[in-house]
Amino acid sequence: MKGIKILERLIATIPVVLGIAIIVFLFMRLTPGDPVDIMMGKAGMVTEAEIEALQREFNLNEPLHVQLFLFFKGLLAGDLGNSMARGVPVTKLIKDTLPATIELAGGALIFALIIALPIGIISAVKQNSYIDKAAMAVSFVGISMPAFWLGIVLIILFSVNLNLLPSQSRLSHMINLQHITGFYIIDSILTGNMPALINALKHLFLPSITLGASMAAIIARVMRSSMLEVLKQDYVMLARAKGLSKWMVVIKHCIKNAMMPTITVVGMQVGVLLGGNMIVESVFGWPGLGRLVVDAIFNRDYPLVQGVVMFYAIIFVLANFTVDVIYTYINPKIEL
Amino acid sequence: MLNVKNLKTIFPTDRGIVKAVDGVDFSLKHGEIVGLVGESGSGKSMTMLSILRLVPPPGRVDNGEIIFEGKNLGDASPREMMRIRGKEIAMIFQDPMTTLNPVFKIGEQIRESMRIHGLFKENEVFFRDLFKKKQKAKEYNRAIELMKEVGIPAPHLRYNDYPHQFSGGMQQRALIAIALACEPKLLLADEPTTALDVTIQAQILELLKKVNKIHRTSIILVTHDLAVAAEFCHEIAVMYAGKIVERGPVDKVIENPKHPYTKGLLASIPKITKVKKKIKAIPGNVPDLAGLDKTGCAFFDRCDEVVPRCKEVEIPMEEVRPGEFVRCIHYTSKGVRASG
Repeated sequence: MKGIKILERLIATIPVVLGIAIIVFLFMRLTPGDPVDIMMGKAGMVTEAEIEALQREFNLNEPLHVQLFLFFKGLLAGDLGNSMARGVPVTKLIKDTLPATIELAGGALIFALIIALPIGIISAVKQNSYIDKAAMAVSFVGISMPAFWLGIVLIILFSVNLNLLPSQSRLSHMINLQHITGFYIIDSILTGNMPALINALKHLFLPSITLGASMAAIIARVMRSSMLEVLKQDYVMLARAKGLSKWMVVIKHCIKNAMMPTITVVGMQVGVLLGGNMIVESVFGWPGLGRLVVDAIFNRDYPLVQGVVMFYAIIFVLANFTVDVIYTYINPKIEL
Repeated sequence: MLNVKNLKTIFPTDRGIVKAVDGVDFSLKHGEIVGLVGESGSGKSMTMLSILRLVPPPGRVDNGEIIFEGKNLGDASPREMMRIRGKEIAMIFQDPMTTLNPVFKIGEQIRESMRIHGLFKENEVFFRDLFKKKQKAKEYNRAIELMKEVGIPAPHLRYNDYPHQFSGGMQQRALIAIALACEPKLLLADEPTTALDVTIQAQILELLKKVNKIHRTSIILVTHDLAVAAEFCHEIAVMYAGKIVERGPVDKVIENPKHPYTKGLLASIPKITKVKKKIKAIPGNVPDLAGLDKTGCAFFDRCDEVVPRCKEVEIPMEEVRPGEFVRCIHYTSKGVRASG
């Protein structure tokens, strides 16, 4: 029963994704700057015939609706076209860089949750204590700190001054790793390659903190406020009257109830993680989707930008869909 | 079994200290039902929470003794209190809709206090019963039994329901089942029928009476409904502004009320008669407890038997007849002298 409903909801996301595709397509073409000009600008002397040939290759001489039609036709076949600047299929570029981005986003998410949930819970239980005030002050700093600044500060501190952690790329050059999934952590575990695992984790550390810091701050604040709300509920008093200790009540009865708003925020933050990683990937030389799309935007590489943004949109829609499904498991009152 | 002496519970606020419970004395024997009657805000619920030592901060028990089965709960360690709560003294709360945790199954919530207090804990060799299957099975069976006892139909099915799938009356039954799980000696019922409609009210009270008879559980029934207390309790204590103003056996208090407040409460119970009569309400409201550190009777401004001395002296509780206590100037001989 639940399975069918989940499937229904999943199908209902398709129009959303199609809508996003159209918007992305049109907006990309509204931005000033011609892709052929930019490509040719790099090459120097070019003839009219060469420009025309290029335009034809990417269907840029066709009317807009025909271009859109061709885009959709490719989309249905799973083909997002070729990158104008790199001449490689967009799907291949995404496939190559995606694991790096997911690994980074995952690292950031785990960092944020590990830090933020306990802080939020303790702050709420010890409301107005020094711990609470200090935690909220730190989280305020966390929210206001721009990622590029934090990234550079961390690099200066941990890489340059203390020489503890690497600051660039995903793996040191002298480490060999057989690529199976593209996720370096998983690959190194699968091949039993301990040095590679440690090296990959070290590389992941600073970018994850940089990307996850503001998210941690937001989650901590949301968790604190929803926990405060839950602690006032009558069922907390009942649990105490049953003979549970204060902290057992928090752990057993409160956290599950307080998770709802937190999960909503985490779902929305997935979009921030993907958007924010453009900056963090640039600062840490992380070969992920973020850097790919920044390059593509500067090159007016229509197919590549379209492809990546489509991809972002799908991930965002799926993340929020997942949040909706998780709701139903946490709170039995909510149905899909 | 329970002896409360001079209990004082205070709440520090911006406008001064609020004495929510101000020198409450009463006692309770095994198998007895005592009614704690009063308007909202008179300190009834706070008295209950003080007994369990669960007064929400910043409030705290300031003074007094709560002797339960020979032990002063005021001296009990937090760990000892945790053993007493749910096992020796259980509480039924006012609003079943918000008192059950919405994210757990009803059955699991009934089972929980058995698990906390290790009701069916097996002294097994470690690892023999790692997942506590036997213990869980026993707890499950007892939960089903309890659900039957409190009148939840089809308990095997309803065990897996969530609170929102229960009606208000069923939720209150589930709460009673939770309270009864460890067969407590004392049941604190804090307005257990207020949130329910009248027919369900009667059923729940009937159920509590049955529990009292079968298990000889002592019950303190907190209510604002003197009629309910009259029908249900052996003894009645009437509370006003944090103080007990009259206390005694139920028939004595109902038939021959002495304190003007008790008289007022009795007069304000609507009776079904052919002649339409206006309900006699007590004029005014419960006083603001924050401004109440003056001497004298807190009821003086609403009382129709008021005399000037009411405000001037501290009025002690007077035993007018064996077992009957009143806190009123008209029943005290020492009232004048007590001011010094």
